[in-house]
Amino acid sequence: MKVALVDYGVGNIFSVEHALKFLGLDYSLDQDGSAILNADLAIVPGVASFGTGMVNLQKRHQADALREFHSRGLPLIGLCLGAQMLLETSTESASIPGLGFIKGHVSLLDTSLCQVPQQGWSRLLAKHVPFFSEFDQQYFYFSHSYKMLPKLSSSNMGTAQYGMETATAFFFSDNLLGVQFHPERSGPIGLKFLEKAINSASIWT
Amino acid sequence: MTFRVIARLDVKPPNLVKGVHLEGLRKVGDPTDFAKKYYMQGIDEISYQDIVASLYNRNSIKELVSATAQNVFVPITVGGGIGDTLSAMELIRSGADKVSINTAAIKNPHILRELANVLGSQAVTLGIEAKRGKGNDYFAMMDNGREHTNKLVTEWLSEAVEYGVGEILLTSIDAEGTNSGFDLELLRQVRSLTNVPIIAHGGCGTVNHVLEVADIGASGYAIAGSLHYDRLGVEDIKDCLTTAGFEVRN
Repeated sequence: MKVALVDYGVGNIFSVEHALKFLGLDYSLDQDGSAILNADLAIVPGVASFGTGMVNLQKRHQADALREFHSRGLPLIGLCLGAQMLLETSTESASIPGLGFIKGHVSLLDTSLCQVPQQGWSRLLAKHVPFFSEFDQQYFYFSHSYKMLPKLSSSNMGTAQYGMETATAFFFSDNLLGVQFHPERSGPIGLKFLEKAINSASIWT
Repeated sequence: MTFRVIARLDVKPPNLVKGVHLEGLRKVGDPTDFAKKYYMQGIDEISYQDIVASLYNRNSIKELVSATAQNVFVPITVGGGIGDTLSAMELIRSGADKVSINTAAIKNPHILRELANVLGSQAVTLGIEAKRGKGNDYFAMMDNGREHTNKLVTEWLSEAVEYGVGEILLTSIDAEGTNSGFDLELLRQVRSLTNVPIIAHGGCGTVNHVLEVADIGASGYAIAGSLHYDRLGVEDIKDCLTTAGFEVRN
């Protein structure tokens, strides 16, 4: 399987690369869309603001490549901002739309219900979610101010609970898997999640 | 969110160092070895501070961060000498998850907004080095506690959070290296001013000191000497937190 890791100039590319190396997975670093178009699976990581991320994806022709890749129905994994950008819009950058591969919006966590940003380890709630239920109750590392609101059924989503606030921890739909937390920074269990997400892509897509 | 037990590694690349009140530094060893050890023990985060970077205006810590992030798969926060968005982005690309800014922000607070615009505020940590003045007044220090400012911590903090910081790394210079616990009055003052997560740093000598900062609402405690010299173990700290009713990552 050919994996493309999308490097759009900002973000924590190094951490994701080394997580893949640790797992013994080969990948090509994409910087202009060409590796995406040659891949069987693409990973979009991210530590940046929504607007910065989208502008960079466009500048490097990666947004177009991802659109083409998505239209082929191939597995596409987004991590943190990489997941948020799969949705249509975000209040973080109101004037810059996302990739819009999945219907839904990204909005600020409710400051009256929880601390914003959320930083640290939270328990994943995924008992009811096919393919990923083994990760239910495990702790993963989250670092975000905005939450994903994909228009999907709850059986396609794992969540995290921050006080009275509920956030989407990951979602999957057809060929897309969007992960709000950072599996590449979530210790051994995070690496296991990433490995499963990649190796079982043919199952969850 | 769980309470975070964080390993604080002051570095003078390539060495891990430790002092008292941020002074009188001793070499402790290779920081990557220590970071790896803490990762294996279940540490929740690594906090690197390049303690000479501001002074000499250099940024040699990048290689160290990369060497660490290759086999330490928990978040790494890096501070010391970060003066612009480019150097912050380079650190994130080198394996850091968050950058901590103190001196540059005091000199030009707008850098906090610039960083938040590019990296997202969740990746921007405000470092505060607080030194007690008269009574319950605390002053913000710069350049790893070497330079005074006339800014009260409370005023500076109120200003800085408006620029969009995602976390506060609060160092008590008075407590640092003493093993006698954090300055709880300082923590109370800062806690009452903001809803942003606060990491306490300085003075951790016993598990009780960890419980004290957790009680006041800190999101984590960054611990240096007590971990480096094996006075405390990560697992023991987490066990005590659990017993006291705080949620920790197991």
